Amino acid sequence: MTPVLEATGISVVHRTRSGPLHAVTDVSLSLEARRTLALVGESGSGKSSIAKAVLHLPPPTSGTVRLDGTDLAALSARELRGLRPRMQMVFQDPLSSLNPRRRVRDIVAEPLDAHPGTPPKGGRDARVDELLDAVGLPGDLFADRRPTQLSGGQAQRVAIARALAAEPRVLIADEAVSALDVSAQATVLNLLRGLTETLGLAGLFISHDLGVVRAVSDDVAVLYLGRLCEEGPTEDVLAAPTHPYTAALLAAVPEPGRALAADTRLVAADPPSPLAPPSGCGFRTRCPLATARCAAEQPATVRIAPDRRVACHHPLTGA
Amino acid sequence: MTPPHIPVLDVRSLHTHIHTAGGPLHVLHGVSLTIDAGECLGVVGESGSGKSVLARTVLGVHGRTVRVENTGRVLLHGDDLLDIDPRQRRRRLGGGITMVHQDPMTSLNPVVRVVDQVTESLTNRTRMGRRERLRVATELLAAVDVPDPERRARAYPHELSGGLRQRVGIAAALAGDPALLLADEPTTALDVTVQRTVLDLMDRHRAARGLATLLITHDIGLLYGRAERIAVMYAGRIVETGPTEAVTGRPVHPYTVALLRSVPRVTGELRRVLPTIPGSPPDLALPIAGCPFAPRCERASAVCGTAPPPRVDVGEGHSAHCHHPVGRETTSTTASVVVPKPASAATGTVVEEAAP
Amino acid sequence: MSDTPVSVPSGSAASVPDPSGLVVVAARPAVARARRRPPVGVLVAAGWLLVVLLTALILPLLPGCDPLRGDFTHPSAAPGPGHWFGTDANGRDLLYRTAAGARASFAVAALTVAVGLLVGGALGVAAGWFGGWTDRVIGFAADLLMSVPTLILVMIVVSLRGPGLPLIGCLIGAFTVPAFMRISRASVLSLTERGFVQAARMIGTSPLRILRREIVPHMAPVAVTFAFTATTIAIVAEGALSFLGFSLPPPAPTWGGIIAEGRTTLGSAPWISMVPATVLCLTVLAFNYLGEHLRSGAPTARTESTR
Repeated sequence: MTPVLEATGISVVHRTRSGPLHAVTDVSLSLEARRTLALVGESGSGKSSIAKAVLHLPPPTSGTVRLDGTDLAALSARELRGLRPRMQMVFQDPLSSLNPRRRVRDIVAEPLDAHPGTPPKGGRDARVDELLDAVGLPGDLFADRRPTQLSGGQAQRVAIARALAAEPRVLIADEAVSALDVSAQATVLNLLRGLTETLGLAGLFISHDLGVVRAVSDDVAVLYLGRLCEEGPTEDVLAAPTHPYTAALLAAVPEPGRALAADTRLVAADPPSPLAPPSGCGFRTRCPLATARCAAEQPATVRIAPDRRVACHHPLTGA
Repeated sequence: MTPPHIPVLDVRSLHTHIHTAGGPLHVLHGVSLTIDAGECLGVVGESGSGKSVLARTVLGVHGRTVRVENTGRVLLHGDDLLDIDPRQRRRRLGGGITMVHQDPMTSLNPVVRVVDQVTESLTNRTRMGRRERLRVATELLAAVDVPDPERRARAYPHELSGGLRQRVGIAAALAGDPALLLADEPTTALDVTVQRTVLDLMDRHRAARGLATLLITHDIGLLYGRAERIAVMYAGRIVETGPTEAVTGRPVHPYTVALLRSVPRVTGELRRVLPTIPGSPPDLALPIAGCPFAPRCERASAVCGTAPPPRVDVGEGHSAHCHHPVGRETTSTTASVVVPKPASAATGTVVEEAAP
Repeated sequence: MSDTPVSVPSGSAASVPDPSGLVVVAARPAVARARRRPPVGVLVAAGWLLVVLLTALILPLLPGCDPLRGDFTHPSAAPGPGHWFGTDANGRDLLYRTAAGARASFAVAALTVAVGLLVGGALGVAAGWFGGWTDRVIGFAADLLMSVPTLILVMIVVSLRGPGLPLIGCLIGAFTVPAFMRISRASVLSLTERGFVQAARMIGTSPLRILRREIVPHMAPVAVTFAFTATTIAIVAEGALSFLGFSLPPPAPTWGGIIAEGRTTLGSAPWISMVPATVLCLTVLAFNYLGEHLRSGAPTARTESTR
């Protein structure tokens, strides 16, 4: 199956007062219809930088992003704007992503109003009701509310309805459930999962929470200091992580009924500053398996199974 | 728990009303709990359940702009904190109760060096020279595993990573040698791997100092293996409380059952559709006749809407307030005997609940 | 493969509403109370401004209320029946003159706010939205303008070009441009970071539409609040200029002009200066008070009151 969105060799470098910050280094991803790829990592791992680079808001420092085969870098500002509706994003803070002065109806209709090319069948309001229904908010109760009259979960569903109004091919969710309560979180996760399947969307789900990632994604890519360290089908990776970082991340997840691992399997507690990354493998300062080789050379990405790849000199095996 | 024994913190049928422009909100509704020395009580609840109000009421630090009315008792070593006037209370609290906040970036003063923030609770009571403060701060930072503590003591908060900042927050809280530590979502702003080390650190000091800890969180998983006991809060009430293993393994209250079911997990059977809790928490400005969870509860009957639920004791200090407690034959959360209501039926009631 | 039409997934388990309500209730801002019933001070201030404004608009239109006609039988008459506010040395009614003077003050103030708001607002939006060179050039120009001694420059220009309310209004307005610019630039900068503006970009909304629909409406409260301050600046500046004789030439009535005329008889007929001076003070006070009240309510732009 051809990917809907393909990002190749993406790097993002921010200029800061303390020198260049390599937020993302040589990351390649491809998103397919009806599948969700989860991007996992801790704060500062470059998750959100990748999302912005993919959307060309702004474009990456290097690397290409192709949407249905079209190189986004080759487009003019106007052409890019015309293509934007194809890639939609849902943000972490549901309330701030909705204009507090507008009604739900107008917020959801914004993509229709902003591109008045093809009026939706049945009219704007009917389309809004249809979209609100799709996210489980009956239009007659919610369409005339303002964002402050919504709970976090409801606001997030309004944001999803707005994204759907643009008729996207790609739906990016950046920590879209981390600000929500557990029960609202479950609703939004079910919704995202359902929509990707019924509407044939390609999903990119960014999260730091492995439990959430497992519930929503088909594939997972683990990021550390802006580089991909492990990729593969979510179930396989979580069942038998090969990168020591993935293993440490998994071990640290607190869960009812799951005994805490005896130690955190990490040498240093805190991740290094992305401004001064360690030489060689970025994870070596915290890795219990690190050797001299890890400090000397950057591990290459190796295919260890048909659909699994890892970048590590000492991958875990037989776990 | 039994009379001759005096717990560190003893909260008895605490009712708290917060007066807002829209009328009074009954945010805490008869909350009772105790914490012994060296014990960790985990309070879990969703936003608006009253868990943070509980911490603020115990500390007596509600904002100036809100008018708060409390009834009931908050006893620290047997002394009622609600009775005494604020100034005396502050003196009494001193090192008695301290707090670790959710976001160390906002709870630490950005223009004050770490050394002065860590030793603040000490210098409030005794005079200390600069060198003495640095020595004490270095010791405290070393005790919370801050690498290179002497250099870190001279740093400003923004020069530290999130994990280090939270450790500085803990060092500051431990400085006064408190009897009770309140931790309100202490690791929510931290990465999972860092969260783990910070919680381990708190556990270590709790054991070493015999510190009573009230750990407030929205994440029930975080309490497992850490808190001796759990109190589940809903709509300002403790709906279920008991030993952690019992509450997470054999929950009695349907809300606890639903909460545990809807947590996404990294282990166990893969669930493509997570069970949800339909509906919304009740509006605390309106009186609640029966059980606050009744409108969302799959076991609810007519009585739930009219009579306050009775306390059901299932032994080992494990109890819940429910008319229809989940039977003890429910041995695990996944093998719940409860038959979920059809979603369509729930939708109708729920949505009306949600309308303001 | 082209666009997949979005169809509604019916009966999906996802469409179960989730908890809500409580957060909204608890978050209801305390400021809302202040909004519901305006304090007495606000009513008094607004009432005063309304009275001054209506008097200024209507009174000079009524027959027999000519501010220039002298009642030579009653020069320097003390306030009393016939002349409620008294008369000046030429027997001209001070009520009529003060009312007519208010026209000059308000005209200058209106022009000032219009120039400041439009020019300053537009420059601020441009600086905040485009950033980079645009921002730097506009910022430097604003610094330059702020370093100029305002009143002196106005006096020089007026001496060269001759007095006129439009000229004075535009000049004072020009000097409020940097402040309006800074304020609107700051709010644009903070608004572009807000999620809903990013969401609009994501949709591919054109920049003009984003400015019009997402940004400008949120700037309005802040800008309007400062407009009150600019109004008082303009009234005071016009008063000072006319006092010094750099506004409309006598006999045209202006507040500063009347105060200046009464200066020589402060001992024998203090009301000549005191009447316009009092009105000026109260008017400035009222504008400031209202502006302050709006400012204290301005943060509600974030937590919009909903009912």
